[in-house]
Amino acid sequence: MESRPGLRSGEKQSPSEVFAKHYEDNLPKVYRYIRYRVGNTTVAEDLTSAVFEKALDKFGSYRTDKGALSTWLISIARNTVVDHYRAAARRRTVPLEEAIEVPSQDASPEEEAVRQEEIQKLQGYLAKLSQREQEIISMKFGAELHNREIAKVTGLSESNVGVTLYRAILKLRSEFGVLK
Amino acid sequence: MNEKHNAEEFSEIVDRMLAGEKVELDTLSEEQKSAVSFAHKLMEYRTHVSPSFQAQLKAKLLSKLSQEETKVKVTEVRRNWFWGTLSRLVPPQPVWRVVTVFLFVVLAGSAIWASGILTETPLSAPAPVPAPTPPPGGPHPTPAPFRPSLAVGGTPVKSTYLPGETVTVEFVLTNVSSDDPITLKNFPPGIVVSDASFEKVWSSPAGSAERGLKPGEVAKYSLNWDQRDASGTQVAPGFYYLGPEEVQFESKLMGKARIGSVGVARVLVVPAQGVMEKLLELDQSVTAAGITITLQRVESTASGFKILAFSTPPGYEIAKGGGPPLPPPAFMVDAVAQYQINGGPVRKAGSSGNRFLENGIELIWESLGPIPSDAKMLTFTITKLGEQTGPWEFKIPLE
Repeated sequence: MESRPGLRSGEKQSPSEVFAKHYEDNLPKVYRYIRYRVGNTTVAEDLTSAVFEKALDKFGSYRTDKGALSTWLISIARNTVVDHYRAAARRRTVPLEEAIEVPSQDASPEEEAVRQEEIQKLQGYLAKLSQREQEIISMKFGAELHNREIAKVTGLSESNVGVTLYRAILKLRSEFGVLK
Repeated sequence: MNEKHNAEEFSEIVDRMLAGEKVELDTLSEEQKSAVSFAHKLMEYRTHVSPSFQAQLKAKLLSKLSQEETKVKVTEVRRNWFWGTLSRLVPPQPVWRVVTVFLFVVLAGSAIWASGILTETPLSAPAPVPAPTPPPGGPHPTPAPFRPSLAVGGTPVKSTYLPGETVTVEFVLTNVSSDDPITLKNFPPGIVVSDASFEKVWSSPAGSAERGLKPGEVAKYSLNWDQRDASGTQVAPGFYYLGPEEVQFESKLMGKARIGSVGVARVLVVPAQGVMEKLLELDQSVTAAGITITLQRVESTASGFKILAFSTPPGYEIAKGGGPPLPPPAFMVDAVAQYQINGGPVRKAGSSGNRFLENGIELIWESLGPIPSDAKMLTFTITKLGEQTGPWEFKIPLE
């Protein structure tokens, strides 16, 4: 039994309204996932843009019975990031650990300096994790996916995802010993 | 088993935290508490989507969607016109409808009979297929892709410089829209000089002037760089990228927006003594972490050097129909390397470009900094291949 999202049938909203709703719900997840993976705001914005354009083009082929829309979008995002790294490898640009860009928040200059230092450290330690660990952390904390959804996207078992995530966090925690 | 249980509990707690719930940690082990507190830290450091990016992307996507909807509507209008016209031609009374349908059937039957389709014809060679003719009205129009109203370009006065020569690049900001006036907010924008690994070497401060740009109008400015890094030291020979880190602007279509083009112009600083131009065919193999990598070729030219290596990692198997090898983790085989010339400073070679062949992976590093003509030894070290850490170190005599 095949079912499709509201853009083509079902919901009594215009395609623009349906799309806008999905966009608002999923943009932060997709963006944060990519931001974790590439470590650079400008690149993350470019790739997020590419993901949503691809999603718009392929929306007719998306089937709700194959998984949640957020999982589908993260699958597209994952492939887009892989393509980006392959292309970057050919062009030899911006390795992850060198592309740290720290967002500024509303904080005093001192707090901001400490925060930036911690984020840079964190980015450095994240970049040292294996690709699989980086990806699972990005999907959990960036895209806010449940382990079941991460398992679906990565092809790993749910318990494997949970254990890998747990070990990766403990590894980061021990490296990042200053954070008490 | 215990770890699996701890991991499951941890994931559940993280999911609840991400959903905005407050969680009690009293029943957790010290290890779990430690992991949860770090997860909390990770959540604090998550970045947010900038409102301007969110708005711009939404406008772009909705514009694309609207173009598609318009195409669908045009098709529907044409279809409705056909059936509407037909229904107007046929009288509404049942009797007249029957008569009309009867006349239509007779006319259609006569036409088919007259065309000879129903008459038996001897078998003969099939008629040549006529060449397809273009549809009336020329090629099918495709919707114009969305693009920002501002484009950034940069051209160096020359592409190669000797050490100490002033590098001059002319940057051009163009309003590429047809009807969207722009106000540049930080004119002239600050320029960043990055090395081949895209590490920032030097930067110029951004200006604070506002400047209007009408559709089609351009704003030009030049930058002179004395080849010194932020500490005032002459940079090493190699490729350098120049470009504005962030151009802030405002327009009706884009709202408040920014564009970054850090690599818009590239220049090469060559060694004062000249550049080595040589092709070395090699067959050096190094094994580390159970993986053998063979260095096959070094090509040194006036515009830098290129390294070609090859490896067949254990269990390597290429997917049917090409693509990266199976099974994972090699969805991305990232080979990272560095090099030294004559034992000098270590320079990053970055990640390789990869070709997945049937028997292994070809690793290629291109556009590495030029080798001085009097260099004697190149040390090329691959530090990482996929998830495996080396090093695979190659010493290449250049004489």
